[in-house]
Amino acid sequence: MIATRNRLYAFMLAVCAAGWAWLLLHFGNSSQVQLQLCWIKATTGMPCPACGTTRAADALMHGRFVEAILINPLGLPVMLIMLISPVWILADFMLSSNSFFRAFGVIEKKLSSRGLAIALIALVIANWIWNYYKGY
Amino acid sequence: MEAQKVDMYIMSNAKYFESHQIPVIRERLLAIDDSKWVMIQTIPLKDPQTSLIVSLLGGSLGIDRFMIGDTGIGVGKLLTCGGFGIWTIVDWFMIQGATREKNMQKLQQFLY
Repeated sequence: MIATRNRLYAFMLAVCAAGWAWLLLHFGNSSQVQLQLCWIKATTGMPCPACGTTRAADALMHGRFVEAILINPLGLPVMLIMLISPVWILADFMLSSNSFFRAFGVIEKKLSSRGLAIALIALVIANWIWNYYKGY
Repeated sequence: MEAQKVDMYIMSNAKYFESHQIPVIRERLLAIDDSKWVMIQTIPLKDPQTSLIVSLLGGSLGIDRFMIGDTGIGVGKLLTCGGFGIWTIVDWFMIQGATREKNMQKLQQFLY
């Protein structure tokens, strides 16, 4: 799907824009907005590994770092991706370089290596179980 | 390569590729050297129907994207609970085409 630089950049920008729009919708009042889009939660009643990411990102934006980690540690990488990638992509456009595209490929390859993949899957599952006990 | 071998390959593997790619694949296979035949036969191609089933069941966690090798998108889906559930639905319709594209990318390494 993402074989060329421009496609990846358009895709990433669209994803980040959607993410920021979603966060702005929830800014400061994530407990009041009642929008349920999670399939796993809607069908089984169980939380998914990413449940609570919005609240965690919201807490991060208000500077409540520890609270964000306690709500859902996945909020941190999401926030980092949403902060760094648009800036990087814009810099690439201005310098007409493709460093983000190359970095994306390298990271993708690294993540697919067996050892790292197993470790990350274990972490995500552990986070899932933790989410379940937190009762989201 | 011999036309007979090529046609055999096309017949047994047509479902793994987009239909508009088949004539190109046939043309290229006819042109390339016979020594690549064993390699081409052993390329592990992913079945689009399998990825559709995986997408229906595990799409919210991005497992479908991980399976076909789109790790970046897979992580994106996993971190956002399937792209807020919307991306999950989009991928139910996109994943078969994406799988065929991935298969074509794998084959292309040997065709050129």
